[in-house]
Amino acid sequence: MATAVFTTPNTMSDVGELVARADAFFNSRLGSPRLMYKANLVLEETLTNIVKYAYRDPEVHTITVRLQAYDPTLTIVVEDDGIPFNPLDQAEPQEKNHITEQAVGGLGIHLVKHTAKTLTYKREGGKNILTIRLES
Amino acid sequence: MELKILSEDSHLTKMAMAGKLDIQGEQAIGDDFRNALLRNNSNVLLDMTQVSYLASLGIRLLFKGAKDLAAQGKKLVVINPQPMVEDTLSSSGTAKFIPIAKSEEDALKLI
Repeated sequence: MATAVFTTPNTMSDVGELVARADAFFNSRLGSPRLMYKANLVLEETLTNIVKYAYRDPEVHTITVRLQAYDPTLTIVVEDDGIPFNPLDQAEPQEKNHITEQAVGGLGIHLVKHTAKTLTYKREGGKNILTIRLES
Repeated sequence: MELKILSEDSHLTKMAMAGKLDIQGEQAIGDDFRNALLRNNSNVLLDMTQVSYLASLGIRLLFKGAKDLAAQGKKLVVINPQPMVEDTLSSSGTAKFIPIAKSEEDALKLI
């Protein structure tokens, strides 16, 4: 089993750098290209969502990501001290019949839920803790 | 991430993307993509053969472009996405609104 811990400030450019570092971990520890793709997708979507919606102040916050690779599975734990947010409570995006009626965006959490094998959430010590388990 | 404009006129714009359409990829080519759509206001064929990864910011870029084109009676058609990219387009619901073709010839039939 291989593990890694990364932290990032809550800005989009910093999150992009963390995802790139995590990708290097995935490349070295995961044998399946499909699992690597899924890992990048759920990590990027989860972190993007936190940066965009978790904080209502201008302060710099730290987001922590823990990775645990045990091929062919990967567990990603993401912790943030933003407002309470349980992605499992979020409704699926409403699908319209024509593109001109369809809202832009709002797909990140949907993609995470669709891609993850399991997804668990808890609020503990003032933090959102999201555990995502992936399989290839 | 790279965006190439292969040809463009008032009827049809042909583009090709290459690389990862993630946060950094969207930042790298987003403005060029949007500007090309605005400049020509034509139907668009987007070759995604060389795109290895697609996340929601990239989907948003494609979807917003397709939606703006649709408001003008034009279409965006994606050509030959890799299997995982196509899966992301499908699972996000995007494929319902942005047609996917296996070749340029097939794509032209969808416009």
